[in-house]
This record gives sequence, structure tokens and C-alpha cells, in this order.
Amino acid sequence: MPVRPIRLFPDDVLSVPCRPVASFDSNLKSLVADLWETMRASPGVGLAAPQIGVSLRASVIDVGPVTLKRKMDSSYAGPIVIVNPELVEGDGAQTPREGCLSVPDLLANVRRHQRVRVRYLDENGGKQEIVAHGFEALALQHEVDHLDGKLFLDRVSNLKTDVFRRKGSG
Amino acid sequence: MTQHYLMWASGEDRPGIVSTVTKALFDLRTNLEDSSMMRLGSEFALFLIMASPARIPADRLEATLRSLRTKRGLAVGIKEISARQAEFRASRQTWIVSVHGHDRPGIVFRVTEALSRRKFNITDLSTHRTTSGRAAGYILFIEGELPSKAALALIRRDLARLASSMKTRIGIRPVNAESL
Repeated sequence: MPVRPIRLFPDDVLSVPCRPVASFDSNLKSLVADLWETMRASPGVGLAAPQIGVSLRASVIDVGPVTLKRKMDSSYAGPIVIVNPELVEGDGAQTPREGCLSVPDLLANVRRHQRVRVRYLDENGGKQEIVAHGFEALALQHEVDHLDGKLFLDRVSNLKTDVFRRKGSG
Repeated sequence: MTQHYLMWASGEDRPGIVSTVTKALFDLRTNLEDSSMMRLGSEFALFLIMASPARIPADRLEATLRSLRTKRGLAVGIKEISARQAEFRASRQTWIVSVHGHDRPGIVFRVTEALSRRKFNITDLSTHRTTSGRAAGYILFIEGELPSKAALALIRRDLARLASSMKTRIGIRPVNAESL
């Protein structure tokens, strides 16, 4: 379960839609373990397989460390593994400033749904559905975007008004 | 009779540039009507449109610019513009062209040339080069107006070809601004 290097923009693996997971075998378990290990060693609350160079539709999310610490108005389903996720419903709007481990020197105001319903498979291939709101909904949308080959750069309109350099990056 | 001016200035970024320039313009009894100011690298740059109740005597204008150059170390320029040029013109519908991928020479030129060929009118453009990855990345955002709805399909086709040849991601989408 090594911590793997995080792929950074403009790495091509981040801009292509990922293949659906077809086998729920030991390779997937190993990938998921690496995702958890890498995410927990990073300042992030979610990580998608392409961010460690694997073009498969699998992500891990655990927003608890942020939502509980900051007492945010957000659902929290605990640590979740989402495989082959599908955003089936979204409503409301939020435009928080979000960052991405693969675009480490920028933050952006990205318009997202406030509430989402996502169907997915767990790491054993079991059918799951989650209804999330607030920050957890944002995290789900961000991860599904990664699996679709999208970065937050695909969702902003203006570098001057929507995108910000992280402090200390120059 | 009101006379409008376009002025630009830049200098090494430090506190006080905006207040220095606007104080000088206030002393000339001009009214600041529209402006855009930003830090690029370590340089602070500003463009502004101002209105004066009457044409400012050339020697007075020159004395103000000289003061900004010599005492404040700014590069400055100014020109007279007409009331029509100074007027803010709202776009009915604007479109965003976003480009991001590996940095390579000619991205801005090639994209804007493709847009220009279809009479896409650029109203705003910004770029950013990232160096955090193993390779340098490039992000370009262009905002502008389509000459006609019919042009959209042609622009999409041109941009898709360009994206393929430059191996970069290029999208065009409308700016949705709902009024309440």
C-alpha cells in the first residue's frame, strides 16, 4: 500500500474519461488501498484513480476531517469508495472556492449542485446510492468530474474572477 | 465640453500605486469612469477611462505624467478618446473559450487567430502558466461575442481541429447570467 505520486496538471491521464471498473478483484482492492494511503498522506479529502495515474472509474472520499472540524452544514457518510459512479440527480447551487491536489497552485470558484444523488458500486461490486449535500456533495461532484476527465478548470469562466493562486505559490 | 481620456500605467508592485495615480487624476478634476487594474508577475498595471469637464491643457497633462514617471517610477501613457469610445457597451450574450493543456509556443496566437477568422469579438482574455507538474501547463480563458448563432458551429469545428492538432483541451460555452 504505497503512497503514490499525485499526477499534476497538465498530465494527460487527468484529461481523458476513465474506463469503468469491470473486475472487483484484488487489483481493485490494491488500487483502493493506494488511494486511501495517498489521500491520507495529502492535504485532500478525496482522490480519484487518475490522480495516481490509473484511468479507472474509482475514487475515495472522506470529508469528515474538514466538515467536522469546521462544523460545516454538510452530510457525512463516512469514508466511502465510489466505483463507476453516476450522478443521477442534482439540485440547488453552491459556489465555494475549491482546490485540487492535481492543480496545487490554484483555487477556483466553481458552481456546483448543493445536493446530489449518486449511484455507485462499492469496492465489492455492491450497488449503493448516496444523497449528499453541502461539502460532501461538492466532493462527489469533483471526484465524478475527475473520472470523466474533467478538472475544475473546465467549470470556471474567468481566470481573473474565478481562479486564484494559492498563497505562497508566487 | 466633456473630454474623455484613456490612460495606462505600470510599475513594480508596491502599496500606493493606485492611490498615487488616482490622486493625480483627482487633482486634474477628472472622473474615473471605467478601469481594470491587475498584478502581472511583479508588475502592477492599470488601464482606465476618465472624463474631464473640458480638455486638459497639454502642459498640465504632461506635468502630471512627468510627475508619475519621475517621482513614482511608473511607465504611463494617455490618449484622448471620444464619448462613444468611452461608453460602456454591455454584451447581450457572451461566450467563454477555455483552453488548457501542455504549454507550447503559439497557443494564444493560434486560438485567437481561429476565433478572429470567424469574427468572434474578444472582450476579455487571461492566461496562466503552471509549473507545479513535471511539465509546464497552460490555461487560457477568452470571453467574447459571436457574430451570429450560425458562426457557433463553425467555431466549434475549428476549435475541435485545433485542439486535436495542439493536443490540448478547448471548449466553448455560453456565459449564463440569469437576472432576477
